[in-house]
Amino acid sequence: MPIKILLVEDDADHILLTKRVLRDAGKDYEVDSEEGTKEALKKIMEKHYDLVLCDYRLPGLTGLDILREIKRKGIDLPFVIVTAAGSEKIAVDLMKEGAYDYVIKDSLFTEKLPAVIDTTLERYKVKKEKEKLKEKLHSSHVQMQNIVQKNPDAMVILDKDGKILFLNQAAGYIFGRKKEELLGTSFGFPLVTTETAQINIVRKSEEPGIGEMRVTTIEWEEQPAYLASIHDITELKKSEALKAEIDERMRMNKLKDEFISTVSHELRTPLTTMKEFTSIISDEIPGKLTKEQREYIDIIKGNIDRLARLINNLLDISKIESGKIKPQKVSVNLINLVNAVISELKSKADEKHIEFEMLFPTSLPDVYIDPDNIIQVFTNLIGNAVKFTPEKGEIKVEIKDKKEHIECSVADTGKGIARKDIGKIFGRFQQLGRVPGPGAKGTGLGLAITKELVEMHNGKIRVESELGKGSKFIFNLPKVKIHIVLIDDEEDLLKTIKANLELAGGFKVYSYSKAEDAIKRIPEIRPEVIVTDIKMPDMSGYEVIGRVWEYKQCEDIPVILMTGYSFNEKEEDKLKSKKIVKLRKPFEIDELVDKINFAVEVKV
Amino acid sequence: MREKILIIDDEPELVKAVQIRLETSGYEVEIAYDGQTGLKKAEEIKPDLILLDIIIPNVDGYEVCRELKDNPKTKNIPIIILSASHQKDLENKCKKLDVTKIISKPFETNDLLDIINQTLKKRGRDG
Repeated sequence: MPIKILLVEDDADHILLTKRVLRDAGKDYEVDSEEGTKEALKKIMEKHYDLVLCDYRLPGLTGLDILREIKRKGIDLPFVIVTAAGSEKIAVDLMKEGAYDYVIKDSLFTEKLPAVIDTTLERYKVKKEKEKLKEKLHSSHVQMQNIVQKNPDAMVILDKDGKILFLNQAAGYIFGRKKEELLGTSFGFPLVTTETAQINIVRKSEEPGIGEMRVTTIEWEEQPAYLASIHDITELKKSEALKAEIDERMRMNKLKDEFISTVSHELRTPLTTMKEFTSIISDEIPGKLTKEQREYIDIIKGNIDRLARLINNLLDISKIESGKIKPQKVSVNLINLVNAVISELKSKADEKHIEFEMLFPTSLPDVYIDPDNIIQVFTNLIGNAVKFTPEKGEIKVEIKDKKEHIECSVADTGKGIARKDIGKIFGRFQQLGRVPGPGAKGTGLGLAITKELVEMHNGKIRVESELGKGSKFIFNLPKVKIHIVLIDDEEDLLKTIKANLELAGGFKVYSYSKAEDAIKRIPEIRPEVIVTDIKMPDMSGYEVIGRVWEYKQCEDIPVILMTGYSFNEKEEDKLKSKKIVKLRKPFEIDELVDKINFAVEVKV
Repeated sequence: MREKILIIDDEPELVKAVQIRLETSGYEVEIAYDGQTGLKKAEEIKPDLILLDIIIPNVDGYEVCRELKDNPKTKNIPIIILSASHQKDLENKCKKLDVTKIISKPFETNDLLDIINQTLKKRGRDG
């Protein structure tokens, strides 16, 4: 790149001379000359010159005027003044004003000019580099300032007497005062460098808290000083306190559970002995009973049973509360379950000539429940219905297949529940239906347990009732979401996968060790997904897929292929692979569940 | 010959009640009030059935059950667990044990007699 020089000169001879000197200097100078001062200034503003060589005495303005004008515009440019001999003082003045150098028009001019230009350019270069460096230094300083100021932990610098020399923004927050107010004041906390200390902090516009302080020694403005860093641990402390409280509560709950469990065990033992001897007497093993003796013995028997029920219910409630009862959900045919409960309670209903009306759909999808829990729910509700329905009354048990769930209801023709009592019905020890006179007494916990059990199945229970007409309890149970046909010739593995899948949730598994059997049943089951082993003695997994997809109504069913060996890409290519998901054996049940969920989604 | 039932339970009064019931129903009853004696008697008299409580002195019911099943001389004797613990807890804890039935106290006498009767019938058939 040529070095561009503007020569401001009105003497034509001198222009020629200067141009010649610069040409002969052997450097790549590109010289532009200008006589008029205004034009020269305009050129300087518009074009980029590397150097201005300016005569002092010019028509209209002086070199000084030009220099000042350049400076005023904020332009930093190597400016060399050219003066007549004997005007050195002017030259020096100009240098004070910011000219880089000067050359005198004398016999040595031609000799000196190139050297002056060289040194000027060099000086300019050095100056620019220095400026750049300074800028860099400044920006890194700003950066450091930022880091320190914006650090979320408070940083305080203290002299050896503990007076505050410096602090960052977070320190202002921690001490609840402005930085300016704190500077120069005494810190007030002991400065220990060997260990962390916990100090009380003010925390601006929040409640006071606790800070963790660490101190180290540093040098500050050439004096030994301390750097204290304070971290606000108020929230941490709070959550620790909360955790301790929760732990304590859990410990208490555990104690309570153990207590209830022990007490109930201790209560049951003598109760059993009482019950046994009562029944021995009642069965007249030791001798015949009089009518009165029989009556009294029956009262004792009834009360023993009531006490036993109460103990069981208390234990149930305690277990539900402590989250110990976790439903072991499997897919269940609800109709069979309800029929079993009804036949259990039939004899009691028959005693009162109560009719059962069962409204069940002809086919019902399986529900995903813990059968023991739901048997308890139906036993409580139907048992209550039998208890509160008068002679020759009617109990209606209904099951409906709703889109999202299965709705069950138990309705009686008892005396109903008063409107004001409906809200209390699921509470504990609420025996609203308590009837005077003989008969089995409740424990007041049955409906509370029923409600908990339904809710553990993500269901809801409610009651509709009208005084004098009867009550209807309605609740819902979750449906089995996904039906799976599982095929594997290894029977043990088949059983394990089936059991694990059914426990994992929402799956109904139909398992087959012979692929042929599965294929026959698939059109009827219409599973959402098929899971099959590849290598089987009667046919390969690929063949299973081909055969299943031949059925028109089954061509959309996705298949999960499992194998401990390798997959056969050629076979896969023959099939529409988007409906095939691959799973390598051995696998965790979660992996299979993921693949099933994935496969089912792909189908949609 | 009358079938022999061994009761292993540390509650003498309850044992007496059950004994009366069983004898009235035609069974011969042997009694042990702790685990060790229970194990010894089981081996000596080879009962047709054992009624076993869980919380009993020196060797608890679970251990008694395991030892009976480990011993070739007693492993075929059907065991019915009879305990005052909660039914579900018992079922969970006895999952790995090869017991015929778990009955939680207090029980219905007729249920107990039915279960004993069925178990012995089945044993008679199988054995």
